[in-house]
Amino acid sequence: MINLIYFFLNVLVFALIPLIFAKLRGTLRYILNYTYLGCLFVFSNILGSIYAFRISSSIQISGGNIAYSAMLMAILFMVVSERDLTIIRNIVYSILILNVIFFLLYQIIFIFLKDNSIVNPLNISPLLFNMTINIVIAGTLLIIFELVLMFFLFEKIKKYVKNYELTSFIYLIIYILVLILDGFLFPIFAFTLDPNLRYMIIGGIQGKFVLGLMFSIPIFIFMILNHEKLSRYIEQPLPLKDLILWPRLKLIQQIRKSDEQYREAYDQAEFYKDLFAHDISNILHNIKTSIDLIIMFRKESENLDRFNELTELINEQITRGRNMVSNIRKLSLLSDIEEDLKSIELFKVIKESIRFIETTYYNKRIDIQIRSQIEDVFVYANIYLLFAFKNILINAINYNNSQKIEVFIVISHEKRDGIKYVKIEVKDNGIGIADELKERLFKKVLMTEDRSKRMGLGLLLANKFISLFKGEISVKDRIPGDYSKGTNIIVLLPEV
Amino acid sequence: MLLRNIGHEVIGKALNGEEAVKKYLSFSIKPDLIIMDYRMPVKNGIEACKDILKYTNNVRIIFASADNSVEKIVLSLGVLCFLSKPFEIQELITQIGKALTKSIF
Repeated sequence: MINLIYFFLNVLVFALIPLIFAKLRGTLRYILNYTYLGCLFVFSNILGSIYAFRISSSIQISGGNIAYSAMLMAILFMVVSERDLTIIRNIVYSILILNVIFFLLYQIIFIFLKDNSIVNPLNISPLLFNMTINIVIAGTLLIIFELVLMFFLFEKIKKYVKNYELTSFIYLIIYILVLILDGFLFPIFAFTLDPNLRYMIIGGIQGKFVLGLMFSIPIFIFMILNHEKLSRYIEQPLPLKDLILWPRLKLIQQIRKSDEQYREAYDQAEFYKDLFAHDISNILHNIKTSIDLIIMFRKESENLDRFNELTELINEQITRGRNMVSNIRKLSLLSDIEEDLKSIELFKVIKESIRFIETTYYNKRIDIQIRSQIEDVFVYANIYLLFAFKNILINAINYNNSQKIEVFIVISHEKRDGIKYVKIEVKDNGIGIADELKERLFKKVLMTEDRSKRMGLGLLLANKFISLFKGEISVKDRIPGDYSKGTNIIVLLPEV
Repeated sequence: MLLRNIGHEVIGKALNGEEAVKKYLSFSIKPDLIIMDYRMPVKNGIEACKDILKYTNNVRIIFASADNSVEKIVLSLGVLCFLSKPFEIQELITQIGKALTKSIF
C-alpha cells in the first residue's frame, strides 16, 4: 500500500510542475518548460537504475519510466500552449546532442568509479553509469519516433474530427497508446537478445499502460484549465514540416515562398496598374467625345434629345470612374478586413445594394427582384459584404444591353459537408460570360496571361471578399448551355 | 451618333471580337470600314482582325484603343491607323475620311 502512495506522489510531483508552468506567461513559461524537460530527460536516464515501484506481482515501474511519461506529457502541454511544432524539432536536436554527451560522460564516470584511487564518498556503484551503446541508440530513436508520431497523429485528427470534446478524448487515447508502444518497442530494441525479452515486453506494456492512465489525469486537468489554449490549438492546423525540417531547409523554403508571394504581388500590382490606366483612358475618352459632340450639336436646336443622351453618358462615365477608384481603394484595405466578422442580416445588405444600383443607374430601366422562401437570414461577414454585392450587381448592369435590365436575386439554403449555407443567386439578362472566361474570372492574374480579355475588377474583388467570409462564389449561365442569355452568379455564405 | 451625324450608316455593332468576326462574315454587302477596339471579352481586337484578314484582304480597319502598348502589333497587321484613346473626334472624322478614299489592300 505504501508503495502505491509513493508511486502516486511521484506522478503527482512530476505532473504538478508543468501544470503550474502552463499558467505562466511569455518567455518565463518557455524557459522553465525547456529547463524542466531537460531535467526530466536526465531523470529518465538515471532514475531507471535507482528505484522502481512494485504496483502488482507482475508490474514494476521504474523512476526512469515515470520521468519519461512525464516528459511526453510536459511536451504535449508545451506544444499546445505555444502552438508551435518547432518545439518538437528543438527537443529532438537536444536529445540527440544530450545523449552523446551523456554517453561520453557516463563512460568516463564508469571508469572513474571503477578505480579505487578515486574517492567515492557514498560508495556509488559504477554499474549505475554502465550505459551500453545499444540502449542509448534505442532510447534516442524511440523518443524521436514517438514524439513525431504523437504530434503527427494530433495534426491528422484535427483535420478529420471537428468536435472539440471528441478531439480532446482522442488526444488522451493517443498519448496512452504511444506510451504502450514504447513499452513494447523499447525492450525489443534495447534487449533484443535477452532470454527474458518476452517478459520484459509484457511488463513494459503493462507498466506503460498504468503510467498512461495515471498521467491522463493531469492531462485531463490541463485540458479543463487551458480550454481556450487547447481550442486554439485544435482549430489551428500546424505545418507538419516543422516537425522535421532543418532550420536551413526551412529558411530556403521561406525564401522561396517569399519570392513567390513577391512575384504574385508584383503581378497583381501590374495588372491593377494596367487595368486602371486602360479604364481611365476609356472613361476620359467617352467624356471627351460626349463633350465634343455637345459642342458639335449645340447649334442645332432639334438635337435636344441628343444633349440629354450625351449628358447621361458623361454621368455614367463619372460613375464608372468613381466605382473603379472605390474598388482600387478597397483592394488596398483587404488585409485589414479579415478581422471584425460579425453576424450580419443578409436581406438588409442585399436591399441596400439594390438601392445603390437604382440610385446610381437612375437613367436605366432596371427591375431587380428578390425571390426568397426564407426570412431573417444571418451570415458571418462585415460591411464589405455590401461592396461584394454592389460589385456583383454593377456587373449585371454594366454588361447588359437589354432595353429593360432584369435581375432576379434568389435566396435559398444549401448544406455541404455538414455546414449550412445561404445560397444567393444573382440572375441577369445581360450579355453573359463565355465558358473560357468563366474559369479565369476569379483566379489570380498571371504575368504571362493575356490580359486583353480581362474585364475589370468587380468580380475579382467580390471573390476576395466572399472568400474572407469563408464563402464561395461561382458563375454559371442563366440559361444552361447558352451563355449569351445572361449570367447566374452564385454566392454561398455560411449561415450563423 | 457621331457617325450617323456625319453621313455614315452604321450597319452593325459587336460586343466582343468573336461577335465582330461572325457579323462581318454574315454581311452579304460588306462594310466599307470597321472601327475595331482591342480589349474585348472572348476574342480581342487583334485576333478578330487576323480572322477577318484570313477571310479577305478587301477590308479597311481603323483601330481605336486605350491600350497603346499594342500599337506596333496592330499596325503590322496592315490596319489603316491606330487611334489612342482619348482622342479628338475630329481626328476620327479625318481618319475615316482618309480611309474611305484609300483603295483597299
